[in-house]
Formats: sequence, C-alpha cells, structure tokens
Amino acid sequence: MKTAFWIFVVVSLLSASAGAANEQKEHGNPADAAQYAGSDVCLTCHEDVYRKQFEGTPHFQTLKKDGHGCESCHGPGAEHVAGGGDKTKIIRFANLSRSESSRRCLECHGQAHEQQRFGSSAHSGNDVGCLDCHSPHHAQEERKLLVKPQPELCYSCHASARAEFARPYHHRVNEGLVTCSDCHNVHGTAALRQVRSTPGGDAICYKCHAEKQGPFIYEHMPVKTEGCMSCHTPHGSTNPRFLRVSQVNLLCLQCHSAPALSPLGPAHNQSQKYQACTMCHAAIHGSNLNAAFMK
Amino acid sequence: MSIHLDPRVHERSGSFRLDDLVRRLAVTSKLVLCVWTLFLLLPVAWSQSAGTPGGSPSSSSSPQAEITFDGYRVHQSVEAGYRVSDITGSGGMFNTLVNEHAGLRLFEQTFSMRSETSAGQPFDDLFVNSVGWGGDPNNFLRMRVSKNQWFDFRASFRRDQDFSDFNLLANPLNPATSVPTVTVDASPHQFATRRRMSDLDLTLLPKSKLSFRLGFSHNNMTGPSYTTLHEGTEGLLLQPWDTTVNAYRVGVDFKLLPHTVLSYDQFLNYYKGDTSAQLNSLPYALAGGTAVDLGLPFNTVAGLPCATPLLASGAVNPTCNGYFAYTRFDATRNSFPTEQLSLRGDYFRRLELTGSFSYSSGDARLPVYSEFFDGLLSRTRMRTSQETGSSRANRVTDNADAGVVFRMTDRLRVVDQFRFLSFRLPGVRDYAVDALFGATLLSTPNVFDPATCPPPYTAATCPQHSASSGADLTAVHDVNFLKQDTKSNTIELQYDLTRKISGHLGYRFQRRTIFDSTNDLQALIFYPSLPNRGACAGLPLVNGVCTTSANSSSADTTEINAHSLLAGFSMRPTHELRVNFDSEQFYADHSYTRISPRKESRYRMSGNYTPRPWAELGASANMLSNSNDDALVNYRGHSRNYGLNAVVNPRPRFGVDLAYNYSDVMQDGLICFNDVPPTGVVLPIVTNAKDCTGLDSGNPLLTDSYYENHTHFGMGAIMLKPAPHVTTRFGYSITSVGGKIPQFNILQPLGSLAYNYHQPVASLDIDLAHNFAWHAVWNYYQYGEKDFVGPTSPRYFHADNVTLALRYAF
Repeated sequence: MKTAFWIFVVVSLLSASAGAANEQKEHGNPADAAQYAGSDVCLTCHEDVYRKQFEGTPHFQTLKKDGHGCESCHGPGAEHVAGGGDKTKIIRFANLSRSESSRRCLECHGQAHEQQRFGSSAHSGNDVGCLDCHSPHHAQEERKLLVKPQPELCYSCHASARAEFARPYHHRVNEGLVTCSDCHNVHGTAALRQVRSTPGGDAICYKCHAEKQGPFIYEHMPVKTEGCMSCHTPHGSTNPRFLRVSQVNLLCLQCHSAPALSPLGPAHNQSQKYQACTMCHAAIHGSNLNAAFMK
Repeated sequence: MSIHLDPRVHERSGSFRLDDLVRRLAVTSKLVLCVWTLFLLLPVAWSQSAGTPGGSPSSSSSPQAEITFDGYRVHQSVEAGYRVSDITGSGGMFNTLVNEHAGLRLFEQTFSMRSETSAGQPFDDLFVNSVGWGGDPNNFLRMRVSKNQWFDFRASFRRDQDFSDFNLLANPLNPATSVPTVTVDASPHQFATRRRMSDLDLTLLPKSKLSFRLGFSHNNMTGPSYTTLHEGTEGLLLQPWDTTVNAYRVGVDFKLLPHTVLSYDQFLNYYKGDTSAQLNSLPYALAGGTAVDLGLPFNTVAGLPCATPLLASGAVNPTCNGYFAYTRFDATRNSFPTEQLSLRGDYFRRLELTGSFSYSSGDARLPVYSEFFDGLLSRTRMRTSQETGSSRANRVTDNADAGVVFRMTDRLRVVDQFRFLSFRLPGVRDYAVDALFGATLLSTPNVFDPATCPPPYTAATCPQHSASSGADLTAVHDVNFLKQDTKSNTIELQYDLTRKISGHLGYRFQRRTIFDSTNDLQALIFYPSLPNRGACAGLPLVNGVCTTSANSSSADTTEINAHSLLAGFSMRPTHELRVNFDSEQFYADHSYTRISPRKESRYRMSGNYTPRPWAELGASANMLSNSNDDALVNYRGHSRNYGLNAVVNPRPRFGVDLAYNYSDVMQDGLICFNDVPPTGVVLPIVTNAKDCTGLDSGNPLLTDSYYENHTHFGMGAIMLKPAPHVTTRFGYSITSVGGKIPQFNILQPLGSLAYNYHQPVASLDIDLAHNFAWHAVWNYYQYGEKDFVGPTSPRYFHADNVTLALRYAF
C-alpha cells in the first residue's frame, strides 16, 4: 500500500510541478481571434452539413460562450476562407492519422473520467481512434454520436462477440438489457481487455452479481485470485451457467486432482453416485458457514 | 415416480427435421390465419411518401414525427401489441433460453425533447427510452437530461427475470435399477429470480473548473430458488432469494491546470443478504404417518439413500437417511466504503499522465446465524443438530495505477502502464453445534442427563451413539486469511510507419504473491454412551464424559512471476480496407491452480472491407493456446474462433446480412479419477486404484481428461421492401454444438455438448397513415440434443411466438 501511495504522489507532483514551472500552454498557443472565421461563415458554404449534421447534435453547444463552433474541431478557418476554401488551410480529419484525430477530440473530452485513459488503451494501441466509433456529422446514434448503436458497432470489429452473444446462455446484450460498455470501458482502463472494475478493484461482475462478492469466511480462493473467468465465459456459452465445460464434475476435477493445492481429489464414487459435485458443494463461490462449501 | 419442481408443459421427445419445421408451420396455421385476418382488416391506406410528415424512414421503416413545444423539438413514439406463444416440449428449457410468453406488451416507448435555443430553458436535451413492459423477461428504461455547462443527469432502470432449469445441472441421475425408481425431472438448483437495478448519475457544472458528481445505484434480487444440502442424503431446500445492494457515489473534479484534472471520489456500498433456506417438501411417510423426506438421490444399488428406502408396506425404512425438518437463517450485512484519488494531466503536448489510488475497507457481518436439522444421518446416527454462531470478515483493498504516454515524435510513442492491486480477506467465525443421536428415524434423540443415564450408560434413555458418532457439543473458532498482491507493468512502443500503417511492440511483467492461512480450533464434548469415540479415543473420562480439543492450521505462499511479449500491427492500405493483428506470448514460472497457464499464446486478427458504402465484409480469427507442463498436470488447452460476416444493402429495398462463426475449444490434462463403475459397466476413464495421493508422475491413478467443444454459428437475414411502405425480413440462425468429454457416469448424457438450436424469424412492417406503423413478427425456437436424454425428462422444445404490434410516432 505504501509503495502504491508513493507512486501516486510522485506522478501527481511530476504533473503539477511541470505545469507550475512552465505556464506556457504547450498544446499550442490559443489562436488569435482574427484567425477564426466564425461558424456563420462556415454555414455559407457548408449549409447542408451545418443544418442537418451539426445543428441538432451535442457539438452545437460549442457555439456557446467562448466556443468556436465548427472551428473548435477543424481549427481556425480564416485562411481557409481567404484561400477560397483551400483544403490545406483547414483540418480535415480524413487526412489525419487516428492518433492525431483522437488527440483533437481529447482536447475537450480527455478530462472526463471515461476518456482519461484513452492514450494508453488497447484501442489506441491498435490504431482504433475516436472516429472509428464516433461520427460528429454522420452518427446513427444521436446521444453519443456513434457510427452505429451498440452492440452492432462493437460487432463490426469484434465479430466473435456476435457469435458469443448468440449462444443460448448469454448476457442480454442483444436484448438491450446489458451493453458492451457496462462491462468494458471502450476508452480504456488500467485492467486488461478494457474491463471495468468495482470501486474497490474487484471484478465488474459483482456490480450485478453482488451476492458472489463476499468477503466470505471460507473463500473459494481461485474465485478471488484467478477471477470469475477461470470457470465462466462471460459473453456467452453453449453450457448452462456460462460454464467453460459442459459438465461440472470435469471443471472441478481439473483443479481438484493431485497435486492440487488443497483439497485433493474426491473420495466419492462418481461412477455410481456423486456425479454432480455441486449437489453437495452448493456454495461454490464462497461460504460463511462451511469450509467445504456445503452450505 | 418422479419429482417435478416446476410442472408446466407436457413433455415430449423429438428431433429436428425439415419436414418437422413444415409441419409446425401447418400446425400453427390458426396463428397464421389470425395474422392475415388482422392484415386484411386493418385499413391499409397510406399517404403518398411526399405527404408523410416528419422526414426519413427509420430503420424499422416507421415514419418519424415531430412537434414543436415551447422552444423544444419533441419526438415521441410508442409501440404496443400482443404476443401469442405456443410451446411444445420442455417448458423448463424454453423458460431458460427464451422465456417470452403470451400477453399484452408495451414493446417500446421513446420520448425526446431537444431545445432549439437553450436560453432560459431548464434543460437542453431530454431523452427517455423504455422497452419490454408487460411481462417480458427483460425490460429497461433509460433516461438522460442535460443542460450544457450546468448538469448532466442519467438514469436507468433494468429488470431481468432470470429463469434457469437445465435439468442435468446438479441432478443425481437416478438409475432405473433403483427400487423405487425416482426421476428428478428438474434441476435441483433451478431458480426464477428477478433482478431490479437502478442507476442514477448526476454531474453538476461539467465544464467548470470545479465539477461535482453524485450517483446512486440500487440492485435488488428476489425470487424462489432451490438448492441442496448433504446430511446423509441430499435434501432439496427451498431458498427464497433476497439480496439488496445500495451504492452511493460522490465525486469532485478539480481542473487545477489546463488539461489537468484532480478527482476525488467517495463510494459507499451496502449489501444486505437475507436469503434463507428450508426443507422443500416431505413426500414420504414413516409407518404411523410422520412425513419425511428421503432426499433426491435414489440409487438403491449404490445405497442411496439406503439399500431399502421403502418397506413392503410402502412406509419409509426408519434406518434410512432422511429429513424431518431443516431451516437456516444467515442474514449478512456488508459495507464497503472506498476512497479514490485520481489525476490526469496532458499539459505538455508530448506527455500524458494518468494515475489513481483507491483504498477500500469492507466489512461483512453475519451477527446471528442459526441452523436446525431434524432427521437421521445414518452413518453417525445423528438425529438432530442445532448450529448457532456469528462471523465477521473484512475486505481491505488498495489499488493504484499510473500511466504515461510519451510522444517522442509525431510517429513514435512510448506507453507505460503500472498497476498495483492488493486485497486482504481476514475472517473469523465462532459457532457451536449441539447434536443429538438416535438409531433410527423413529428413535427419540435423548439428551444426556446423569439422572436418566447412569453408569454403565447403557440405559435406553442414554444418547444412542455409534462408534462413528461425532461430538455431542462442539464449539469452533475459525480464523482464515487470504491475501494477494499483484504488481504489473506494461511498456509498449507504438510507431506510425505511415498514416495508414502502425505497429506496436511491448513487454509486460507481472508478479503475484498469494498467501492463505487457516486456523481451526475446536472444543469437543463427548457424552456417553461410547464417550471414547472419535477425537476422544483413549482419553480419560470425568463422570463418564470426555472433553478434548482439536486444532489444525495451515499456511501457504505462492509467488508467480509472469512475462508477456506483446506485438501487433494495423493497416489501412485503402480507405475501404482495414486489417488488425495483435499477439501476446505469456510465460509464468508458477501457477496457482492446475489449469492456470504457465505458457500462453494469443493471436487476434480482424479485417474489414467496405468496397462500397452499402457493403461491409468482415473476417476475424482469435486463437488462444495455453499449457501447464507440470508432469502431474500435463495440461493443454486451446480456444480458436473464426468468423466471417457480410452486410450488403445495394438498394434501399434490398439488404442481406450474413454471418458465420466457428469455435473450437479443447482442454486436456491429467485428473485423478479412480472410481468403480456399476457392475457390468465399462467406462474408459475409470481405473481401479484406491487413492490419488501419490505424487509420482508414473502414478497410474492419474488419467487423461480430454474435452472438446465445436460450435458452429450461422446467421442469414434478408430485407425486402416490395412496396415503398412495406418491409419484410426473413432470417435464420443456428447454433450447432458437438464435442467429446470423458464419461464419468454411464447415465450422464452429453447434454449441452451436443445440440442444435434453431431460430428462424420473419417479420412484416407496414407504414400506415398518420404516423402509424403495423408490425408483425414470427419467431420460432427449437432446441434439440443429439445424444441420449438420460434419466430425466427430455430437454427438447420448440415454440412459435407471434408478435403483433402497432407503432405510433408523434
């Protein structure tokens, strides 16, 4: 705990002192007001986009207060206008790399909790940028400006997930009850696979399946050390209860055989009886009452 | 004789054939007639498209409408209707997989208000969407209200009716050779619970230097469920589920510098567990009429619940294991306060820093626990036991992470992510057990009283112990502890070769240290008769009573160091084509469980090709292989998934959506399985040795467990618009599973390892006049296994669901 705390302090001091030592904003000095043409000028040439694909979107708010509307994203446009619509004098996102275009979005959206770790995310590392999922001007999903609604958007790259959620035993993603972003923060987390966690660092599974969280007096230790996925496949499974294998006894014997940590293999005759371990060991996620998880 | 836990639909076996599908269509002709009658009777009169108010067709081909109210653009829609449902076969499996029954439904509702000016109005945007009211198993409501720079409020309510009755799960598989033969037709662990979840989140002043976040979540799960308990035999318990979580969140974001945010969050989670358990039923009776439960397993050849559970008279054999009564109350109260501090800064153009630290000290209390058993555990002659006690556990976690993204050049980035996770779970439990003994279910369990049980302690009024009987009084003090510290660091170089080609190369190191300890201290009192039994063998007696104690403890530490090599690239050679590749090679020097990998290779490839704006083709391959080379484990496993998909909409009136996916899962490792099959049965997996404690790699007791699962998923859908206001869709999907598994028990079918699940669908949408749209859908479901059923009811079912709905947008 001490180590972790001091690491955090060092990172904080590094960031704060660097900012204090250099007051000049290194993101690029704010452009002079004269470099901006004004969104009403953009409207004169780009009326179709403006009226149909900007005015009704959340980004329309950038016109308020000190915002620059279109030029908040596309950069100052005075030279673009002066050049008669010179495309080289304005930021065109189609010409930017994913990394470059994402940095422009994160200028405004980077401070929000959801987007804070995008730079170190698996999506970013695999050249998936903001504009792969969001479209400020051509969104099919209006609230978050998504190219397509979830989960179809996610399925367009993660095709295996479509098949997993179509399996008979599945989390209700296709039904709309659960969304991909309930369990994954698509903008990145500190965990692998961009999986969220509970505030205390536990698996996000416990947000819904709270009765499995414990803590229990008698812990089924791999549940806590290896995680829920040591026995379950969370997207969907061909087996009931999302189990990795079709028969519970095999799942148990894979671990509870010599030289298991403890206990060793069963003394019961599974060939004639006891063919269902969980008939007796019912509280398999952990128990407050029995060390063998019988209740 | 059979045990039904949820008797619904009559049950019939069957297997899927194409002519069966055709026959089903004919049998449901009355449903089809109903559909067509409604179609003909409805006023199918629609205005010319140019005259339809509201704009472009939606994806469901229903017209959009809009009204303006007090400076807001308002859109609303509601879709309501009726579902007809016809189910044949296993109602339990239908409810487990589909669970959509007949009745009136409010299928969907949307309401949207968007401000045109924002000035002087309480909010800029309000959106409410809800789905599935009236009896569907899944329904939700989502709402968002926001006013730029002032607040953003989001709320959701979700309700999930979760039914599970896969009858092979936890089933004793009672054989037909048992006398009597008792079939367990439903899963002893079935449940029918409802989970209601609400999430509310409010952000105040989101764009300000100081912004605030408030949140509340509520999660309540209730409903009946069943479980089992082993006391000589496995009794079926009714377990009314009742758990509640209330979670509160408060957070502050301080933008202390440009592009630098410091946040503090306080989380408070409260969990209440009030689930109890009681004996479900008493289906048998002793001579004299006293009701008793003999439990679920009936295999008299193997002595379950005993060799002769029922006498010739039909009364229960009083020497058999059985239950008169059982109750258990263990109300749990947990609280988890968590504090979190986080920072994000990218003040410098080339440097981005993130970090967070959280501390949580959770407390789980079971202040009063009580359990009562009345029956007979024949092996020990226990007739009743009363257990009371309390427990307390803690969960202390501290987590930290720090991330750096350093843009060395415009093309080269160094990304480093450090993570520290630590949890500690100490727990203490104190409980006492008071047991009484008797020879049979008819015996009166005697309390030891020196007045009625004088030396030599052979009177009939003495407790009737056997040499196998446990202590009469037991007081236990258990102390357990589990801890895991995990440190990991991932460093990666990301390079943009061009704007269309990029790659990354990285390394991850992870160290896990796991420590667990147990300490069990027992004080035991053995009354006569036979006081020198068990732990009191050979110990002195005081007034015929033996008192002793027992203590056992253990402690273990495991350290695992793991290394991963990460590599990948992505390419966009043209605007239409994109290819991604990602890989990870993992090695660990130890593992905590036998099937945790010491080596793992992971490859992921995906490609998307959009040759035309109306055509999208995709392919993916995910390959994972892992192993544990320990000589006594010899574990190998792989999971390979390959997929293809195509979405083609060349014209507004025609579209095709196709998808295919193949999944291949294999697991193979040495397991200890040394049981003796029934007489006359040969099981390849079985050996005849006596124990599995040898640690010699040549141990003949270890046998190979080979498991494989092949799953094919295919889906096709066609959309046709034969007329401007008419849309038809036809689709079909199939999930086909096959595989192999060791057969531990001759009565165990492959079950979920061999089945086909068919889901054809057809729909008709008609845009009517005045913003009305009519909608009809036919869903068919068919689940059929490809192996023998086993000693249970068949799990086959097929069902026709027809949904008729009217949608109005205004």
